[in-house]
Amino acid sequence: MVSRGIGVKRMEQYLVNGLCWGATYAIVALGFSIAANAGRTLHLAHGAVFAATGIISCQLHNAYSWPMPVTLVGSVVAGAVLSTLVDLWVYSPIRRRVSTQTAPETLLVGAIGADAVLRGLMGASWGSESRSLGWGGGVLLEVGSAAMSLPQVCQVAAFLLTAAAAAVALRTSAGRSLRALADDPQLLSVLGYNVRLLRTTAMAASGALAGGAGFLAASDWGVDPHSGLEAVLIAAVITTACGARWVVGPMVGAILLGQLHAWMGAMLPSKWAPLLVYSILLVLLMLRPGGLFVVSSRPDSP
Amino acid sequence: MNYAAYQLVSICILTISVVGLSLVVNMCGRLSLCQGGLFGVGAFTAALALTRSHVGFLPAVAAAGMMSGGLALVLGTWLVRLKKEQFLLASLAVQAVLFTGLYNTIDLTGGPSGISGIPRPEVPRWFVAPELGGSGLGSSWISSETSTQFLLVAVPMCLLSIGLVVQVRRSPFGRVLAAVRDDELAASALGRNPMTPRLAAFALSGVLAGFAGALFASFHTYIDATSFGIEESIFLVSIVALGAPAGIAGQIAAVAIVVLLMEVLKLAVPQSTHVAHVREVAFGLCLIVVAIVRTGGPERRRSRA
Repeated sequence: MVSRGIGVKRMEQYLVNGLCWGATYAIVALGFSIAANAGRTLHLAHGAVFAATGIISCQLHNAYSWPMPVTLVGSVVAGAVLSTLVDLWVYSPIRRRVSTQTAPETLLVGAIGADAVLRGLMGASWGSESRSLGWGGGVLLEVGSAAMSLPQVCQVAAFLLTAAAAAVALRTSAGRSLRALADDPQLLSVLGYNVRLLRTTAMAASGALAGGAGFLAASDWGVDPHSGLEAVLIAAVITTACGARWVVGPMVGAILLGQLHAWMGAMLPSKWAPLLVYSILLVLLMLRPGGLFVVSSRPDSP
Repeated sequence: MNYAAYQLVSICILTISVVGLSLVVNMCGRLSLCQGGLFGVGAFTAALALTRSHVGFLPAVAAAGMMSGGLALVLGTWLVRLKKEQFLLASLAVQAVLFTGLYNTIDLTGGPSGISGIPRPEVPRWFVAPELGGSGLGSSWISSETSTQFLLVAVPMCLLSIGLVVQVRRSPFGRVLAAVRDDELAASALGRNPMTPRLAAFALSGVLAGFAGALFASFHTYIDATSFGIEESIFLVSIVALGAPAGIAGQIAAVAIVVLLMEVLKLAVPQSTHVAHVREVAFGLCLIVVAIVRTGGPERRRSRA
């Protein structure tokens, strides 16, 4: 009876941990899918932006003693700025120079380069060790027999807010333009829309989301320059599994993956847990490589 | 002399891996980010064969090539079916799986501690000590203790690998690869299965990565998994992208330039811990510049008008 009680408590805690982990990566995946839809490329530097903003949050709070809400704003702004710079300095020049046919592969080379530059800059500036914000470690809320800390509550709240805001934003005029950009940028250009500006705006929004997620990850489990690779692969798993249709796919997929991650993490030694994500990605690509890659089946794609 | 020989051996090892990767990137039109992992599998296979099974150098190299090539063949059976973006993503996941596997199988690879005491290959005694000739006391073969002596093994292996890749590119098989890369639909219409040549190229690239890994393990006498992470794969892709316009000669020149650049970085960056990060920034910038300046992506299609 006692062991059964402990089992139920652990199960509830795994559910909560999975929800919080999934909530943060849902925000990363949403940003990744916005960039993928608007930019028509795998924005591999998205993970590096996520890791960089997590480290910047730690720097702002731990070294400069910025209050937590201001640190969050700083992280979001840093993410938006970094992503915009990647678009302006890497993706836009490539799009201007290369033909539509060779653009996707050349953009990928640029994305790998941007990712390496950001990762190298992080390592050179702040070292390779993991950092965290180190706040709100105590129990804030109890859900059944599971405990939630303040960062975990913030993760769930941020997830709900982001999902609601994204759902509303996509119904506005700007949101409809972004969806049209994903469907047919050439037609949008003919209709008089500034496609470059729309793309840059989408990239800034994607970076802002990475910034928010970076702050949340730094608040809970910590980040290092190499966290970005895992983050972007998780985002790719989520969008590959559940599609990249803006809000519902990434958000639902992340929560499901969060549960799987928490349960597998409990059953497997922690050092093998990352294999789960990579293996799921490989199996998904093998069995059902659709989802995200609806992008490449459009008429003007190779 | 020994310093120059050390650099030359490094160039030979990198060249073998790069010309192998160029088959996938330039001839198949697929960006592969798992070459670093295959290189690592080859290095650990050779290290285990040399330290635990105590086989000779050539059997260890053959085992490394077979292990990496076999792994590439197995993975390639479905990797080559994927489209360009999917292939990149899958190769990234393969790299992550290989790295996690190499880093965490402590019983086999030593984990973070790695494997040390890997023996160097033996070279003829007359090369090491010409005054003794081949008729001195004991064996006529002696371990290659210096980089200069190691060149006797590294240079022939490098030349053989280059020769193999050049032959592949010039052969009917190479022309099929180029045709499939340039127009898969047309090649299929002419009765060519596009998957088979791609799979063969990917497997051959794995074999060469295994050879390079074996040479790397034996040259450094110590390896650990951190040398075979995603940074290594990006590094290799950067070199291939840099040298792509000039074919095989371009790849070799790019390797030489990159090795020299590494030495300059070591001198220019005072803190040795920062060298790896500065290297990452430098090669990331190279990739961006290559992507912006070149209009055809990493795989230039010279056959097109």
